[in-house]
Amino acid sequence: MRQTIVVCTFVVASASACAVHRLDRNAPGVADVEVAPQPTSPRVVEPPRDPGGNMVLLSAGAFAGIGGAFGGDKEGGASYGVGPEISLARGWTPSTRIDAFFPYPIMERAFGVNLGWTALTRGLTMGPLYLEAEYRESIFSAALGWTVSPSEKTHGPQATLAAGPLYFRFTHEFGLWNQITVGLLLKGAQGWLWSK
Amino acid sequence: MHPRAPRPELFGPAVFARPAPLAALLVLVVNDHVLKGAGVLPGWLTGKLSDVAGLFFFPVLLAHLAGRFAAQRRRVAQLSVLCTGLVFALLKVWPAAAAIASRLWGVVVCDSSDLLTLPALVAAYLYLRRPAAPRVDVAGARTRWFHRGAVLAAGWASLATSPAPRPPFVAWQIQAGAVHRAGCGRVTVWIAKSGKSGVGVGIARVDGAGEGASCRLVLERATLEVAGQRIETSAQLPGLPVESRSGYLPFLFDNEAAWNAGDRAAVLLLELSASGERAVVRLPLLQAWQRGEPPAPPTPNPGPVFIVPQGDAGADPWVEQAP
Repeated sequence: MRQTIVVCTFVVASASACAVHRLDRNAPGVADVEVAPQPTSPRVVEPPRDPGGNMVLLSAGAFAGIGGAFGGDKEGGASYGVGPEISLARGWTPSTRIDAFFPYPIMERAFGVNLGWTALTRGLTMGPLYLEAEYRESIFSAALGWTVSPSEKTHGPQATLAAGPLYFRFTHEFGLWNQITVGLLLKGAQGWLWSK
Repeated sequence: MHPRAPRPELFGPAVFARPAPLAALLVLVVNDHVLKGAGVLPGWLTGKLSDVAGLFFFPVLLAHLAGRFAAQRRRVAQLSVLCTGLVFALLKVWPAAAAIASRLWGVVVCDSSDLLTLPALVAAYLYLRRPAAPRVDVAGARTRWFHRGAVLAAGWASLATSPAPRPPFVAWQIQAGAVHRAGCGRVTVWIAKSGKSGVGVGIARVDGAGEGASCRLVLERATLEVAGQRIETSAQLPGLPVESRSGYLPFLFDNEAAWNAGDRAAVLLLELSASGERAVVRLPLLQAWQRGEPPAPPTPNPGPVFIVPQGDAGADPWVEQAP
């Protein structure tokens, strides 16, 4: 069952469109209207400058990583983690002209939350659920959160660092173990972008 | 030789002189640099065409590059196809990867519907696994240089993509012709600046040869009616002479608020004195998305370059004269 869910998540993630929807709000650009364009002759038409954008990004996908478990009551060893994750982030982009250079602009800075489930992992019946608060800068992100294993009735903190689709995750479950995984996180995303 | 062993010549430079990779390369180059944006083929088709050609061509290129250093060519063929597929899928489903790739080698569109072109990898794999054909003679120095050139061209084609489309932006535009009669003279009016804090209007005189030499045009008042408000220009009026050299009329208001409130139409009212007679030029304005190329470089004569849609450029001037 869990394998089916994970496979379905991968399929949905890869099939979900990556799209940024541009909203009309605040659309006029930046122009110093008080000052005449230079030179004034010959006649000059000066296009407005890009004010940058606000963005909300909803993404869903799946992660798969390998690593190790150690240092707890449960026996450690090589480990893995596979499961789905959904994220919501609010950020800022350097450009609103998404047709220009980056069809899907990287947010220069963003805050968000990740909700995930390590559905397949070593030695656990169900695998832990987690909720993280995330900070993103360019392609890098750092997230801190809490993980709960309903089947084991354990919980503990979790920290995730990511660079693009690559992630490094540390999980400490009180009374169970510490777990480190390194892997790949792939997400489809829908973004909503409007001018600053 | 094993009947299904990879063809040795596919791992040498001669591969880029063979019909199938050469055809894929040509499709890539022509599609990226000629067809895209030309309006000859639909956009979805030109997008998919490059993907299909690339998914066939890249594994062959990779196999050639890796095959020079690896003995197990069958494994090289498999890995080339696999790596191409993985990277392609990553770029098509992961916005950050698409953005990074866009920075490195041009626009990469993150569109998961492009995954439909993945079967082209099967064609690449079957091509790499076809039974051996007669070898291509690569002994001649001229032939070797030709093949090396083909490899370089292949690398360039792999990296170069078509230029990015120009960005859209919001700006006011004048919904009337370029030249307007004002009493004994003629003026041209254009939107010089448009932004969150207002709009700037350019004005200049455009009399023909021997026309209006004795006519003196002076701008007495300039107002912009937008969102139920009448905004006066902050230029020094009245008494601004209108000459062939451009004048500039800034109108300062909260254009962002007007846009957000849906107030996207305005009327520009210019009151002039034409050798003592009063003349009024009234121009409707519209604020809208501008797509495509930015305004062309301005020409000194006779009029400005407008950023109005093509359909409006040839419209008759709408002139309103005082009796």
